[in-house]
Amino acid sequence: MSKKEFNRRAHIEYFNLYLNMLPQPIQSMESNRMTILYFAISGLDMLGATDRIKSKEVIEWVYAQQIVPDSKDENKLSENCGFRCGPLFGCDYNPECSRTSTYTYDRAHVAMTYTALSILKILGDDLERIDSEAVVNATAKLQQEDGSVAAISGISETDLRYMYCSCVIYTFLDNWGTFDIEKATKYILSCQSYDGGFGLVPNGESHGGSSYCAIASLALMNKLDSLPDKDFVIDWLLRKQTIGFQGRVNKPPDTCYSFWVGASLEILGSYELIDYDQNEQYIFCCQDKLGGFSKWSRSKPDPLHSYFGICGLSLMDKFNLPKINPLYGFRDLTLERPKIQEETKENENEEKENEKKEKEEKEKEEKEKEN
Amino acid sequence: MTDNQKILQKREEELDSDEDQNLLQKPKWVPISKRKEWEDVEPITQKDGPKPPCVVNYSDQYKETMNYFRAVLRSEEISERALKLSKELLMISPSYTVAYEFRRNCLFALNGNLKNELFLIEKLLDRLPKNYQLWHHRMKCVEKLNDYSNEMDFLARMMLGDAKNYHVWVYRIWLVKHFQLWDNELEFIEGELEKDHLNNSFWNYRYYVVTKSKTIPLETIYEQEFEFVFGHITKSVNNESPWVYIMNFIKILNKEQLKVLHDKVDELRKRHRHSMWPLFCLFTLYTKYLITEENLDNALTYAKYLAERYDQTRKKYWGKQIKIVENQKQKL
Repeated sequence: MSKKEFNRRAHIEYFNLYLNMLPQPIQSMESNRMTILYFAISGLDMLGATDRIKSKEVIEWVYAQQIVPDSKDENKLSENCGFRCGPLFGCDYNPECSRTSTYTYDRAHVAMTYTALSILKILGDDLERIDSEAVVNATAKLQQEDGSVAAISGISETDLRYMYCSCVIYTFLDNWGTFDIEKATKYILSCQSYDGGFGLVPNGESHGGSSYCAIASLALMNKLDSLPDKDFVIDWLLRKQTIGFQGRVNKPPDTCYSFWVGASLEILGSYELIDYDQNEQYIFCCQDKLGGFSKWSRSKPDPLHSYFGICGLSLMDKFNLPKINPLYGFRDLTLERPKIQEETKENENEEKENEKKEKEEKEKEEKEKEN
Repeated sequence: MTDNQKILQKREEELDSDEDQNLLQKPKWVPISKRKEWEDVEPITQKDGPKPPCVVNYSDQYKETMNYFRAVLRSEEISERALKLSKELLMISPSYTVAYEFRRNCLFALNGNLKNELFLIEKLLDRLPKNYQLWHHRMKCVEKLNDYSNEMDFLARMMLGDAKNYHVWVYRIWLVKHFQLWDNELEFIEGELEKDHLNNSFWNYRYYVVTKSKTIPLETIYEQEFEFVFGHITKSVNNESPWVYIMNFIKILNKEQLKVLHDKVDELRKRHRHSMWPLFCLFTLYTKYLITEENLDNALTYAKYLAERYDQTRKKYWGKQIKIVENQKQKL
């Protein structure tokens, strides 16, 4: 198989495997199950293989992870509302999202709420069973005094990843509640490093992932204009391309940054300035022949890098991949899907036939000349 | 003995005095349902629904540990047995955020040995150096203990594994600020930069120490940093880190300082004709700060070199810059 061939079938099988079953060695990934489900669902969606997804079953399971207000007192533990990573806590299976008892340690996680909502949108659900008020109020309570956002209520780390997740949640539910946009903007800007990129926390080293979170969050809040110098940021992003994209200065390239850095450039209107060929070349050397993409060439693929490898290719408008919405990280649902494999394969076959005929005719001519 | 060997030996000595023997041993797992101290507890199973996606074929140990842990989470039990169980759980499921909070609640309420906890965290970090929850858990324990005496050695050990581990630096940034440990940090980071000037995390940390340890104006910091930074640039002109570091100061420089900087960089350009960085720096100076017709002409020449030879990956970017500068020239 030539390196440049996009092995769609193998990638479909790869995501399909994860959709159905997580291998035992990563049983501890239970605490990230919702995000792995998201990669599998969105990956299959990007590859045009939604026929592999039993949408109704997945939607039911996702809804069952929603923590809704307490049946007796809706203010009790209201900060816990949102989505869990999975049924880890041991609550009853409740896809109808009817109100039940709430528990101190049964808490939503902002990244799981973001990925749960994304899954539902991708599968075409109308979000009817989301308790929008409860989710928005609980998410707003995750915002700290300095404007940063925590992952779960109680005590957890706060960094730009959760800022991004919460901004997407408010956008999807079309309700920013009591979230303080000014404070959030100030916090994001305080994470900008001396070289133009954004660290994960204030004074942190500039990093591709946190830069994406910063830029996408500002865009979602309609605050991109608060960046004192957009060109300064664009310069930093563009310099992250070596062949593929690196996440930090003097580090090797890694597939997922083709998305994090690429999407940031797309949001800032400068994606077309990258070197497409080198980017493509790098992503392809990370393609595994059994499906999926790894972070570096000759290492093992994983769901995250597989998913962002495909997103990285989609940004370049290649291989009939649907256009991605750079703010959400999944397919732009407002656009029509591009024509998929079957039709293009027909065209490919036709082309091959024509080429063959031309070759035969040329050989015939040359033979006649000799004679 | 090398520095690294000394660092590791110190940890071995500390572990010898560790009271919690279980840390280093892997005892044979006894099902919790067979342990007398858990007789009174009703385990709670996971309810995955009829057709769950991403199904895991859990091991018996995982299933049972989680079943009992769910029970103590539900009842919010605070006890020695719950504390022990939380450790068993975190050894097999180290990313469960809420479990760390639960464990801390037990630890703090029962006056658990927090120094031992730090050993446990480091043991787990050896296996999983980039686990966010473990780093955060350590932060909370050290905060509670209000004792940072182990932390610099701990960070030195983690750096041996990976000196660019992002968590190491986030943690150090927090530690130094929280306990006001600025005194030795400049010396520390200078030493690290001597060993590896290409590590951008080192440069970033230097910037943090230099700008946050005292309130000195940026102009003064620049004067101090100029010699240090160019000392490194001269040794390795293609290293991006010191260039972006020093270029950050350009916007606050006065005319005299700009001239000194310009002359220094131009000297490097002549000595290292194939390097992109002197050209990039001069381009910035000529088009934004030292704008004259001659300088803009030079800027155009350098942009063309960069596009065609020394920074080809950013060919399109330089093409765009060339058009902008040509416009700029016309307006002069």
